[in-house]
Amino acid sequence: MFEKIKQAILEGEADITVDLVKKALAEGIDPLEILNKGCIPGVERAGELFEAEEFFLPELITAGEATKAAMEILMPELQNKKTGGWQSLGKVVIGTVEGDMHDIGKSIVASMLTAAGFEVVDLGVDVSCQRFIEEIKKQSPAIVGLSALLTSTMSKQQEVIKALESEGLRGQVKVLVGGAPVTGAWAEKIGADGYAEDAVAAVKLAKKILN
Amino acid sequence: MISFKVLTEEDLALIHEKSLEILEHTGIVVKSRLILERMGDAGCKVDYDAWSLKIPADIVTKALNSSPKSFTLGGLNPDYHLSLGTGHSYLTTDGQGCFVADLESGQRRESTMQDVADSAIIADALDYIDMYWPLVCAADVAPEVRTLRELATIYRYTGKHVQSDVFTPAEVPYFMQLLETILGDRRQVMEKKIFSVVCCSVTPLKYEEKMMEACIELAQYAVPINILPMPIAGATAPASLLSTVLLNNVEVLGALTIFQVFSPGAPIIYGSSSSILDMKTGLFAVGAPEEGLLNAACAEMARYYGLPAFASGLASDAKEPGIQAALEKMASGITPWLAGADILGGAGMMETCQCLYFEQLVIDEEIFGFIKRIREGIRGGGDYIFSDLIKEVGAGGHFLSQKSTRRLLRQGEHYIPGLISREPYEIWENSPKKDLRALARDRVVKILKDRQREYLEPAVIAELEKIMQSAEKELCP
Repeated sequence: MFEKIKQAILEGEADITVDLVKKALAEGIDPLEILNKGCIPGVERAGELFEAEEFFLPELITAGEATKAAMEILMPELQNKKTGGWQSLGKVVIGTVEGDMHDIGKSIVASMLTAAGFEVVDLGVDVSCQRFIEEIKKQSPAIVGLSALLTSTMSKQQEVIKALESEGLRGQVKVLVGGAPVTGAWAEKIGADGYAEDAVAAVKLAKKILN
Repeated sequence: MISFKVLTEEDLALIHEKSLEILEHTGIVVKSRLILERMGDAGCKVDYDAWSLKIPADIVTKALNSSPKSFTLGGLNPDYHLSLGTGHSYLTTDGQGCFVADLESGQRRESTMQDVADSAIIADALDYIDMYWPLVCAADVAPEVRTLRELATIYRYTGKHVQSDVFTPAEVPYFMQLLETILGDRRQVMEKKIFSVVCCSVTPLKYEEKMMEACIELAQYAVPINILPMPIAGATAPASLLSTVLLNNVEVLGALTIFQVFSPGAPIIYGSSSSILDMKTGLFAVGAPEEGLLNAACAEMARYYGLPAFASGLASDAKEPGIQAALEKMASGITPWLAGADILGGAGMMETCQCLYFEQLVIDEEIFGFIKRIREGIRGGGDYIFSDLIKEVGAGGHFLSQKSTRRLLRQGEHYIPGLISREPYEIWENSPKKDLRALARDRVVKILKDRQREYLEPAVIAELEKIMQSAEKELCP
C-alpha cells in the first residue's frame, strides 16, 4: 500500500493518491505511517529525480500537488489523534506584491516548497501590503515570500518589510524575495533575509534559513 | 516533419536532362583499361588516348534502375542499423582530417591512431551519432596500410556502422579478410553491411582509377559505396549553384553507372560534399550558407532518383570551437537535414574538415538536437489543440500541473538541451556552464575514462593483427 501511494505521488496522480490514502485509512492504517512511509518518500524521491535532472518541473509539481491532496485528508486525522508526530518543515506565506499580476514564478516556488515538505499558504497575485500583514498575523508563518516581476512593483517588497517593522513583526518572520528583476543586492538593500535566483534555489534557501 | 525544397520540379528535371547530355557528349575521364574495356563492351564510346568514356543515356537509365532504392547499413551492435531510403535520417561523424586539437594541451597537432580509437569510443558513447567515419587519419601508421589498420582498431571501439576509404585494389583482399574475421564469414559481410566505402571523384569529370577499381571489387561483395563528389562553386565548378549541383549529379551518375555495369544491384549512396571557394582567401569554405543549399539540392536530386542520399553539413571553417563554429554548423547542418538527406555528415570536425576537436563532438550534439527538433516541426491536428484545457484553466491560471504537460514533455514536445545554459545570471556566474567548451571537454574526458566496452574478442584481435602483418609485408615497400 505504501509503495502504491509513493508510486501514485511520483506519477503525479492526485486522484489515485487520494483514493489510496482513503483506502489505507479505512483499513485502519495509522495516518502517521501513511504519511511517513508513503507520501513523504514519494515526494522526496520526486525531489531527488528533479535534482538529478531525470524529472522535469511539471513532474515535480504534480508530485507536490498529489502530496498536498493526500495531506488535506491526513491532516484532520493526524490532529484528531493528537499524535503530534508530524511537522512540516515550516509554514510559508507567499504572494505576488500589489500591482503585479504575475503568477507563474510564484506558483512554481509555492509548488516546489510544498513538494519539499513546507506548509504553503499561497495568497495569489496583486496582494496588498495590508493583506500580507493580516495573513502573517493570522498564520504566524516562519517565512514570507514576496514575488515581483516588474521593476515598477519591486518597491512593494520594501514596503512590506517596512510595514512588518512598524507592526513589530519583523523579528518573527523571515522575508525572502524573488522575481526576474530582483538581485541579491536589492534584497540586501531593502533588508530582506534572502533572495533566490530560481525555484530550486528558493527551496534550498528556505531550508537553510530555518536551520 | 518539416521538409523543404531548394529546387523546383523544373530544375530537378533540367539537371537530370543536362547530366545525361554531358555524360553522353562530353563524358568522363578515368585512366583505367579495365573500366574502359568493360564500359566499351556495354555500349559506351571509349577513347583510350584520352582515357575518356562517353555514356549513352539508356545505359545511365538502366544503371539507375538497377541501383537499389533502399538498403540497411549495419553495425557490430545490432541495435545500430541505418535503414536508408525509408525516410529516416542519420548523422555521422565527419571524415577525414589530419589534425587534432590535443585534449590535454589544446595544441593542434598531427592525428594518430590513438585519436582514431578515442574518437571511435566517443562516437560510440554519444547517442545522436549513428555512424562512424574516421574523423582523422592515423599519421603514425604507414600510408599503404593506414586505412586497414584504422579499420582493425575502430571495430574494437564502436558498434556503429563504419564508413571509410579505399585507395587501391591491393587493399581489397585485406579489407575482406578483416571483415570476414570480425563477422565469421563472407556471407555475413555481404548481409550485415557493417562497412561502407567513400568514393570521391576529381571534379570536374575525372576519377582516380585505383580508387574506382578498388570500389568495383568491393561492390562485388555488396559493400555499399558512397559516391561523394566535392565540386567547389567558382573553382572546380561554375559559380552558379545550380550548375554546381549539375556537376555533382553528373559525377555521381558517371560512377554509379560504372559500378552498376560491373555489379548490377550494387548498393550505392548518392553523396555530395559540395561548397564554394572563398574568393578572398582562395580556400574551400564549408561553413558557408551556400554549402547547406548545395548539399540540400543534391539530396533532392538523390530523392528524384529514389536513391539514398549522403550530404555533408554541420561544417565549419572556424579554427576552434566558438561563435563562428556554432553559427556555421547550425546553418550548414539544418539545410540538408530539412531537405531530408538519409545521412548527414560533419559532427566533430573544424577548420574546413581538417581538425578534430573532441569537445566539438559534444557541442555538435546540442546543435544537432536543435536541428532535429526544428525538423520534427509542430505536431498538428485535433489531438494537439487543447482548447478544452484552455477553457478549463481559464484566465490567470497555469498549465504546469496539467497531465498533458507532463505527458507531452516525455513525448519530446519540447527539446531539453543537454549543454547550453538557461540558468539565471547569478547561478550561471558560478556554474560550469559559464565555459561551455570546458564543460564539453570534461564530458569527453569522462567518456574516455568510463569506457568499458570492447566489441572484439582477444582471439579476433590477435587474428586481425596477423592479417595486418601480412598486409604490411605485401603493401609496404
